[in-house]
Amino acid sequence: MTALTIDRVWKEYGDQIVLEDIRLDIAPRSFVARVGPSGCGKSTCLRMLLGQETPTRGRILLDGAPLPAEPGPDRGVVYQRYSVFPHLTVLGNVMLGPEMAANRLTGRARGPARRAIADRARALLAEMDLRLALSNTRHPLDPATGPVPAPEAAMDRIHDIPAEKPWSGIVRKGQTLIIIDSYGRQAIDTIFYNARDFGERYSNQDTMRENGVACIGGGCASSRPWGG
Amino acid sequence: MRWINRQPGPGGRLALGALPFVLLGLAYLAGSALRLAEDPNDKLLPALTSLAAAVDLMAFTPDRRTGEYLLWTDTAASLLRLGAGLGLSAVLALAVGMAAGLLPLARAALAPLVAFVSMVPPLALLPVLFILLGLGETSKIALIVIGVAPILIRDLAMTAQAIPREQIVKAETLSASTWLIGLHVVLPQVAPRLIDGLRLQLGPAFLFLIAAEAISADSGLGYRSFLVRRYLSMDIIFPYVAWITLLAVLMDLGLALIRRRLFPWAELERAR
Repeated sequence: MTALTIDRVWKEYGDQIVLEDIRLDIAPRSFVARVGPSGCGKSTCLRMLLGQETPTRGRILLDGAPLPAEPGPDRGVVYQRYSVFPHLTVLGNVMLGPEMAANRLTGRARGPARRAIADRARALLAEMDLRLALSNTRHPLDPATGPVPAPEAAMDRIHDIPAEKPWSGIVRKGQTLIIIDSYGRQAIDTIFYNARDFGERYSNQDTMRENGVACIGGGCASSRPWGG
Repeated sequence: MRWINRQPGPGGRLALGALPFVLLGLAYLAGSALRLAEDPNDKLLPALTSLAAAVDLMAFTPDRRTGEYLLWTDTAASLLRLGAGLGLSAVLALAVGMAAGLLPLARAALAPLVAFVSMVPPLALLPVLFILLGLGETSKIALIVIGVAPILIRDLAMTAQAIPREQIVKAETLSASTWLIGLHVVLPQVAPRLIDGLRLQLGPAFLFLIAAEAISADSGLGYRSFLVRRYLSMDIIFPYVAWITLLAVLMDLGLALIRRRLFPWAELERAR
């Protein structure tokens, strides 16, 4: 269980204030949706949670300890696009994480370990309706493969993240998603979800709450995406 | 129909492509016939029969002094130098280019040096190389490496940097170390670009090779061309130039084939 504290966080680029005095305590196993127009700071916030950027002021605490200053296996991410590896097949993409974890030198598992990872990856892909991709040889950019975010979501889900509603449906829509979760743990902790809107399925906060989505801040002003 | 909308058919494309070659060939034959009619001893534009005789002499007749078939020993010597030069450049480019593209610290340390070295005209360094490394193979290979490697390094560093940051971050969240990111994310994605870079550098590599051979060698395609220049032996020089060109074209096609075979996904990305 991971509690996240965002404590008086500011982010400025030169004169421009992107995030202003964000204060937020997020309980373990929350689903936090941030909705707002382009440029309101959703992605900046996400990059800070990933450790790709540091706040100009304030701090972000994970279970009371400062967030590591670089991305790591304790925080997963599913991007809108870009982060599928084009040189690997869909299956290779899903297998990459566990394979790298299995051998820190070659990044390749061998023998039964490799077969086990492949089986799990195939099962995940089948569950995500990517049977087409099970030919093993298809690359993510091949038009026959299907929507790109799906293999990406599987890349994260292979770390024992259960396919629970409501996010399993959202992920396929191809929006940026960040998953706070300990590597290989059975239970997923906190999910941040960035979207300009939720489309028809999650058209208003009520529908989102019914689906177990905690919504923080209805919309967002240009420098104050949520909280405050 | 407007000219901008007229497309050649498959046969027409072939015919149009062949046309300039045919015209050039005809122009040569006409010029050669004219000059030879005026002076049968003219050496500038030899007739096809003299060219064929020269090819036979160089490629299929053992040399009277050494017993070697000169064209093939020359080709072997040149290709060995070219292969060593390009191979070393490729290895250097992968190591230094990836380091500079992937590691900000390495980039800070290496980028200015590589940018500086890539601006040194390699041929101006040739005397230095001959003095430092002697007149043997080392200096010729070194010239190719100095000419080709910095450009490949910069190209690969830029390619590595152009990989979307999201991919790197994704790999980090999948527990990759710097080493594993280099091995499984960056290396496979810069490798096709390295082959493209080598294809583009074939021309310069041959230039440096022939320049070095022209100055000091005892065999090689460039050496032979410049040797027989003294006797105005255009009948040998022309086939040598054609042979060098053919070799370069074949290498280019071969590298393109390797790229398609090894990195089929890169074609998908290119088509996007």
